[in-house]
Amino acid sequence: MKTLLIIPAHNEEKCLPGLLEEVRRAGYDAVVVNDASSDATELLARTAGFSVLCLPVNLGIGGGVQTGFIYALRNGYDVVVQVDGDGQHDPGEVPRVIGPIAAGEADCVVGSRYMPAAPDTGYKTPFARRMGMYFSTAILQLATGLRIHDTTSGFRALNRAAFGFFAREYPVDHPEAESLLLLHQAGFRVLEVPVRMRGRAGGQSLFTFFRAILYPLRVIIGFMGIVFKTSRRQQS
Amino acid sequence: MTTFSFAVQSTCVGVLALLFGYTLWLMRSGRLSAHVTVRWVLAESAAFLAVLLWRWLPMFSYTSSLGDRELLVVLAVIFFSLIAFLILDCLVRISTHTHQIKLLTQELALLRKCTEPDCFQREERYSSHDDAALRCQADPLPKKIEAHNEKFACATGKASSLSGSIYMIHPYRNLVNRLLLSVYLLWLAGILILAWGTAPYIILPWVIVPRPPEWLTSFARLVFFRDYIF
Repeated sequence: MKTLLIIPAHNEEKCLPGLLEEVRRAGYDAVVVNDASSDATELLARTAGFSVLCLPVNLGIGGGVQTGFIYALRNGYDVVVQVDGDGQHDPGEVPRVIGPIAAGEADCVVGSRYMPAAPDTGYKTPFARRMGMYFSTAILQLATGLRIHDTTSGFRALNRAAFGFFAREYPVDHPEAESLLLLHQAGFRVLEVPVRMRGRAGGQSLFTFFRAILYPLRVIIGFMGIVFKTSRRQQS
Repeated sequence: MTTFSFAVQSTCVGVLALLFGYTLWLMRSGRLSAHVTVRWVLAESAAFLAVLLWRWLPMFSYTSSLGDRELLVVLAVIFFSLIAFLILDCLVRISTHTHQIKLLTQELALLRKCTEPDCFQREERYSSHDDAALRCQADPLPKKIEAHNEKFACATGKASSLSGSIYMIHPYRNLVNRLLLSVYLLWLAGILILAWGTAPYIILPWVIVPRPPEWLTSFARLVFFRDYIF
């Protein structure tokens, strides 16, 4: 199974070298999506010998990851794994997230910190993020009946059908929860597996306090847009 | 037509004529696309005709029976509804262009990857990051990357001019837009507060609506120069 790690990175010169070193040791193919960084992110990724997709303007996490999906689709990969460029996701956990896909049990596997069976007690979630996550979890369950404990996790594996679908359509802003709804609406199977995550090695999180305040509103509007679009598509 | 109504009509015609001229000038100088201009010109012409032919419109007899104060409020509400509609139309266009820019950016990144010189495709990876950093210092790779970027500068522009968020392509215009939007919102708030005080008698005469508090009315007067106009 040809596997590609997609690493979206925006000004991650502090975190990226360590992560790329781990990816190199694990032996996976990886593509770094440099989202218009103003630091040495591109240079570091290139000197480490990895493929780099350089976006000339900042598209945000959604646009960056989608570029990775298109790249994987055009280069014949079977499975992709999203790994954040901030070093929170351990490449050593990749086999756990691609396992259910290899076994044909799921189309998308979410690496979760909060599964009741095996919570990641070592990971400290900031308060604002935790609130946002509870909210999106509740909304997702209300909308689909799907219970995902870690909706904001960016550590995900997708099979070719699922990332092919995302190559055509992927949410732009805070895409994690919305993408799960999209997958569910399109009939893909989503599964959650427990993983360990680390704190940020450096840099700044996109999930700031002000973004956290707006997050519930964005999630509601995003969900409404997806539900409306899907029903319109079904009608037509 | 009363004297006050005539004054309002003259002001409206003058403002619309200025707006009409400004729109045409924007189109001529290439700052406003022809597609958007057509919509604006049509809307302005409709408003122009409505103001000129006010006397023969059924609304005139209705508002005249209500009094001049209400006439102005009705005018203002219609005007702002029209503006809001046109702003939404422009936002739709901006959203479409944002999506198109996203697609182009992604394609550009993928094409650049395809056309990268062989020097970027290292067959062997460095044994460690420290090793990579050491070789980076001695290796001409950064220079090659720089040369490659320069080569593609004609297609992508310089990084400094293109870096930044997709939503802030032109910071100056963005600032002006925000400023204009703030003024518009402030004005709209003033109109709505005024409408709150007077509209119940026009729109919902049978519903008892509480009067706005004094401090809010003072704010509206300040924004809309109500004492001067009335």
